[in-house]
Amino acid sequence: MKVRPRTFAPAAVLGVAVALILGACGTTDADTTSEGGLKGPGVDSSAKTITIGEISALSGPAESVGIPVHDGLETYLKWFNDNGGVDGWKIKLDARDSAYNPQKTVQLFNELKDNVTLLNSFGTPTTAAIRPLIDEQKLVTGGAGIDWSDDPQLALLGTPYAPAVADLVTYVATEKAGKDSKYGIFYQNDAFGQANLAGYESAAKTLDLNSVSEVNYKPGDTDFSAQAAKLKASGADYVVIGAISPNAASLIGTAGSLGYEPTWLFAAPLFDPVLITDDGTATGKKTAVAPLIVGHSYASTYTTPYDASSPAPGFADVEAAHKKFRPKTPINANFTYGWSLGKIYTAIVEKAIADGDLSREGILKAKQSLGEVDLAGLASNPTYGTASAEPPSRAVDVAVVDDTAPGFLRVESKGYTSDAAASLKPSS
Amino acid sequence: MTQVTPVRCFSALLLVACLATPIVMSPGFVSVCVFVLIAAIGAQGVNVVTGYAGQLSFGHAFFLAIGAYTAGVLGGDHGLSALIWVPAAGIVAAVIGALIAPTAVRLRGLYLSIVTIALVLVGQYLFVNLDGLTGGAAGRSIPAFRIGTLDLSPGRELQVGPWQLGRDQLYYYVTLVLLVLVCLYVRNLGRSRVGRAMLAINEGELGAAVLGVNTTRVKVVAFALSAFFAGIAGALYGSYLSYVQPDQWSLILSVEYVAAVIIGGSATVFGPVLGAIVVFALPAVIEKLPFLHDTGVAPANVAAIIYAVVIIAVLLKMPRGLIGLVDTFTRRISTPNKLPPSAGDGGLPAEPPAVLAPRLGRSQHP
Repeated sequence: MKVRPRTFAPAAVLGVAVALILGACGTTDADTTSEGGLKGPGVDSSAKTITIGEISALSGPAESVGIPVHDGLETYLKWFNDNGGVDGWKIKLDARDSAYNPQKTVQLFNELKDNVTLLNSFGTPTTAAIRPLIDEQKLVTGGAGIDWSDDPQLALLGTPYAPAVADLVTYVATEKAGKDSKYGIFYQNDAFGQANLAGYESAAKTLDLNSVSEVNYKPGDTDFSAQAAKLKASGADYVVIGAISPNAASLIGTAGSLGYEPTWLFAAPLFDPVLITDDGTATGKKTAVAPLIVGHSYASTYTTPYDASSPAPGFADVEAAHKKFRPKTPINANFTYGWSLGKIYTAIVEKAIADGDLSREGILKAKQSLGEVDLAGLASNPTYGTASAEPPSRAVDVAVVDDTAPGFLRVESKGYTSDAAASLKPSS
Repeated sequence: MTQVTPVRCFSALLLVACLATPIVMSPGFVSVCVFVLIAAIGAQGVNVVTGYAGQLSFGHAFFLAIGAYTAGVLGGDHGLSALIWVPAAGIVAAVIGALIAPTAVRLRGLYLSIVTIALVLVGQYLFVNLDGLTGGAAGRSIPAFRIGTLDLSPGRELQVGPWQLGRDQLYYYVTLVLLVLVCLYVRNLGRSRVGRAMLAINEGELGAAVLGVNTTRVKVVAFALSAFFAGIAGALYGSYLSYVQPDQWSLILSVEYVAAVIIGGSATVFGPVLGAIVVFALPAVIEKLPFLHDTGVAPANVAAIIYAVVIIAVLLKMPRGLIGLVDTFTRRISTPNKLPPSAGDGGLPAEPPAVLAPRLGRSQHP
């Protein structure tokens, strides 16, 4: 049986004609230069407001991290405006929910791109989907979970996933574990998890570790019995968690029910205090998995743990803003991270205003000439310059999980870094 | 001389609206439209295999992925023109579809569904592990649509008269043209011998065989055609998104495509297009409703609930899908005083369709 020629002939003829016409059309480079001075996308000179766009996971599989980071950023910007803003300019936040979906992220980026001065983007795969668009728009973008790259537009905070994992594994392997110890990793099988895996494999290769199991899951999975059984069968003594907290809690609980209790390793920023208490605070109710983690798990961090009874220096503003604008939201590592991002963005805007240029080029120039940003001890101070291949830091603080310590982390080694972390390179 | 009728006026208005959308609407809306147009191309694939040939397939996500990765390899790794990688994406997917089809066509109903579900699961495993082609779990970039000097990369634009068309607008027009071509093909397919054979199989395989239809061969053709459209849609999807990862080619995506065809109206030309609008644009539109932002719950979660209720309502009240509603509307505006009261109620056909007549939406009622 044949399809009659007339079935496809009109479509084929039309297709060829359209292709010829399209081929004859020539596109040119878009003029993305924006007006200089205190004008530019997202800048309202009459109202003296500057808009920062945000595409975050406010629902979906990563909301447990996306929401507190958003809360921290929003609270900081409210506090910043409440304290006069910068030279009379106020900062607005236009937040959108990507639900951790790359397609939706592209749609939202197109909605926001012409009306924002800076962008806060959440998630590794979501941000990867808009990276060419960020480059085209020359839009300075920061956020949580952005994979490390040499893109000049990215304003990263903290140690990227891969070096953070490499540091933690190296510390445990050289300072804590015996020679015969076995290692494994549990990771989300996407760009985010792959970054964790790269750090783990770098440490395993550098130190010639006995890596016995690499198990993964798909984003959105909720049952991890197969992964727990596989890890148990492998006999791994130390297991790196390359997953967000709900999935980590599920794996650890399932492993515990199988009688498998290895030492869990949480690389920055994946240790979440809600693994220990329901609200992540010292006064919260203990979770079911807390006994399986506390005392024999390690975490690396680059944000300072918060202790309500004796807050570290730098938390005074956080507490004041928290009390005024968002008293019901607990202050935890993700909230602090969002707050710190806000400090970075306002520092860039302040520099651009001082330079008298709020155009896209002006914002990028301000970021590249910003130097060190003082985060008041809340996180490692990032330094921004023209050399973008180097991440803000390759070092972490290594801590043991302790439910009596601030943020449930008792720091054992500050500013720890490793050869395995030093050998890692950014994604292209 | 062509007679001016209300239907023709309405169609002309619709055409103008389609052409003007990228110029008058916001970039965010245009972006949603691009995804809808691409999805409509893919949905026509499901329409052929499920709507026309009656083979319920949930393997569409697999073929979409094949198309995207073919585009990545040919356009990205080898720098070939879209004139090559767009059809190649369809052809590679069609060849793989034709290779799988002989196994699939031995099965029917739920058994066939299970096999096609397995195809998606096996595909995801392959895509994660074929790092060289797919970038593994971390994903890979897919090139922008380029033909000669027409380059739809970010940052490029085209001056057409007074209008400066950016990347989103250009993608809109390119995908619109391709969708029109695909719709034309499907329309002609429905009138062709093979299309009628597919419909015969849909009505009853045994009866079709008795009538002399080579049912196995026709079903293989249906699978291959379906995969072809999916491959093209996958290539365009990846190209517009610029980045894909295996997690995106999930069973949920296949279900969305099947839902688009059922909601819009299967075995019709325009039904899958309407279904794609509902399934792929409605959540984004609902999410924009201002009152959702005061509920204290993430608007996306509330939108998902409303969206589900709308779909259930459509399925309950319009068994023929949305195309039934369009049929009723076009007949009302063309013969406002002659319509019997019962015609079109609940989307039911006004007259029983001929068994082997191609169900082409309004084209059934010239």
